[in-house]
Amino acid sequence: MVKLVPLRRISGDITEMSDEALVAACGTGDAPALGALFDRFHAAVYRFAARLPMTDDLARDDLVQATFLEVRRAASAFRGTSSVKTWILGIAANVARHTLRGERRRRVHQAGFLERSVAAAEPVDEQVERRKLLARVAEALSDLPRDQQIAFILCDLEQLPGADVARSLDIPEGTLWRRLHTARKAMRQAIEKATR
Amino acid sequence: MTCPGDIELSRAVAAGAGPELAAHFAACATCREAWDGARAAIDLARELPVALPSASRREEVRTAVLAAAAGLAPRRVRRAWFVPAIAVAAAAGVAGAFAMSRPGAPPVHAHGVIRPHAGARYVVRSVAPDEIVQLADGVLDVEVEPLHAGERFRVLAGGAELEVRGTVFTAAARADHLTDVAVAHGRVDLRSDGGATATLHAGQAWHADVAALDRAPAVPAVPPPAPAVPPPRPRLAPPPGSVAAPGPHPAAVAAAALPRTTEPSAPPPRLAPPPGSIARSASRDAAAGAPSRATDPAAPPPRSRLAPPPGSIARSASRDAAAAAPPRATEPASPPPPRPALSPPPAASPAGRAADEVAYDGAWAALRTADFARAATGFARVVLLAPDGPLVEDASFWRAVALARGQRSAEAVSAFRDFLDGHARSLRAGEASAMLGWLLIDARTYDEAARRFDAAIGDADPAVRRSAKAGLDALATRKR
Repeated sequence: MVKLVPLRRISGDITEMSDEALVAACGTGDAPALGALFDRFHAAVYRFAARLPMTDDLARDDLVQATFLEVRRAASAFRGTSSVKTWILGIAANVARHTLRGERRRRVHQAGFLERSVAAAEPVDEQVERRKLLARVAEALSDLPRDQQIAFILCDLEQLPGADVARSLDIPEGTLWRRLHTARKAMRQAIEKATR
Repeated sequence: MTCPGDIELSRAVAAGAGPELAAHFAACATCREAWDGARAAIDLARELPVALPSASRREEVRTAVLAAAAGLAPRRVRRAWFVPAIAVAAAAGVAGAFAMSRPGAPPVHAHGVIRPHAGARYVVRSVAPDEIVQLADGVLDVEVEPLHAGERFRVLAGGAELEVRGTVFTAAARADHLTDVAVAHGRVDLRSDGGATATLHAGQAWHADVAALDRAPAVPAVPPPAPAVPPPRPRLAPPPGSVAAPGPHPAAVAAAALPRTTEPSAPPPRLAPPPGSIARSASRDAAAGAPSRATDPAAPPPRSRLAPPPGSIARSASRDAAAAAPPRATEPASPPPPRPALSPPPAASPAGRAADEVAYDGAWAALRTADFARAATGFARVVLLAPDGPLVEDASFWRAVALARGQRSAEAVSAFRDFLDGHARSLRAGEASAMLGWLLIDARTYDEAARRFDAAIGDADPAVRRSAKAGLDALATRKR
């Protein structure tokens, strides 16, 4: 892989710059480059954050902000071994793992509440059934261990290449596939239970 | 073919089954069921609703990221080209931020000139390279010079947004709603409250449905004061089984044990506004629900600045006296030794006040009203405006405090580390070390937490020493 040549600062039209060039510029402290990276990838990071169960709006904002600050810090170390999107989402995943600890108890509590809410609901039509099923899927996703959640979201929902995701998360590829297998199995069982 | 293993099957679900595997699925009901079940789970999970932030919230986060990142940038890089340009632009921009329909010379911004009509209310929310002007009420004439790559200039009014590249135009708003836009030269991209977009060229105009605005509930001219206590918010990182065995959470211990320098109920430090700023300060205080500083001289100031800014001679005596007693509520009567002036103050803004001072006051007002996000951004802006200014040390400290109070623990850890790296000899070093120690316990970084508490154990302030000792005791309990 060719090492990226750091740019002193952005020249030319920022919209025409590649993602990798923006990261390289960002690594030199170029604020417009960081702004451009935010513009290009904030939606993906927000989507990732929103899919992490039991995070409120403020927690999501914090996660997005912390992710892009970490992007700024780590930009000079980016070597282009994965796409920029995968790299940034990998950073988001690592930030999430560190900042969203302690959510488990709250999730368990809220899951119990959801269980009661779902049980109380009357399936009067298909739409209600569908909502109930999706609630069960959301619950199953929230019950997964954080590492499995991250693997599932990045690979199956964001559809990022597994090899790149494993590199970004700094885990062996086999570990990633195993986590995915376990996560899907748990999700599948939850859905089967709901539809039975 | 034998049945694929878990890893092989998992990879196939993501990448697709090859012909051999597809043939196997056709023959093996068990594998087929596993494959179909996984696919069904993924398809259903993709249907889960994903809530994305509003455009305005996204912009706030973007601005905060850029402001914070500017504070993180390596000094040599910032000095090379970034900070001087930003500081000059921001000095003008921030001065304009609080200007409300002042007659005389229009506020100059980095990429243009804003001429507010009488009664216009607007705020400059961010400076170059991504300038954002928030128009609440009234009319602004805006001239923007052609922008360079990576630079933006926007006017926001409520949920509407005008983005320009280089143009002359007039924008009007009422009660936080964009009502009119008229382009004299160039091009303006308009996104209305409802999300509709349009591009206006020279000679074109856009007008909102004013009748609909009239039906909307009125917005008070002056926003009500923010509540003193922020709404409850889930903590990000209360680690299960963390160190604090019985009793309150370590963060609560820290909050109780630390000197209440972080208490935002104290009034901001300015004792007498500089000439020309009386009306503005009064309105800002009223908006923030602040007590009069003149009637509350005993309240401790949050700032320990000794170098007076230009034009502050009249208040220097009282400020210096106040500065000699930084807000350590536990020992209000025992002043620490005075600090030397750190560096000459930055150039004064056209209004007679240094831009970093204005930003500092704004940030502190936000901290006092428990608007921690705005406070953190404001203190970051102080550093951005005058990286060598006398307020940097205090601003760096208070930014970290604001982040911690705002439950942004990871960023607070980083900010406290930056503060301690950059101001190791600060009088607040012990206090910052103790706060950082508790945050690190939350983050389960026990070794560094112990080092931080060790650094704080000899602090001159007994409350800091008590906090550090409590932290070390908590760590020792955990080891046992």
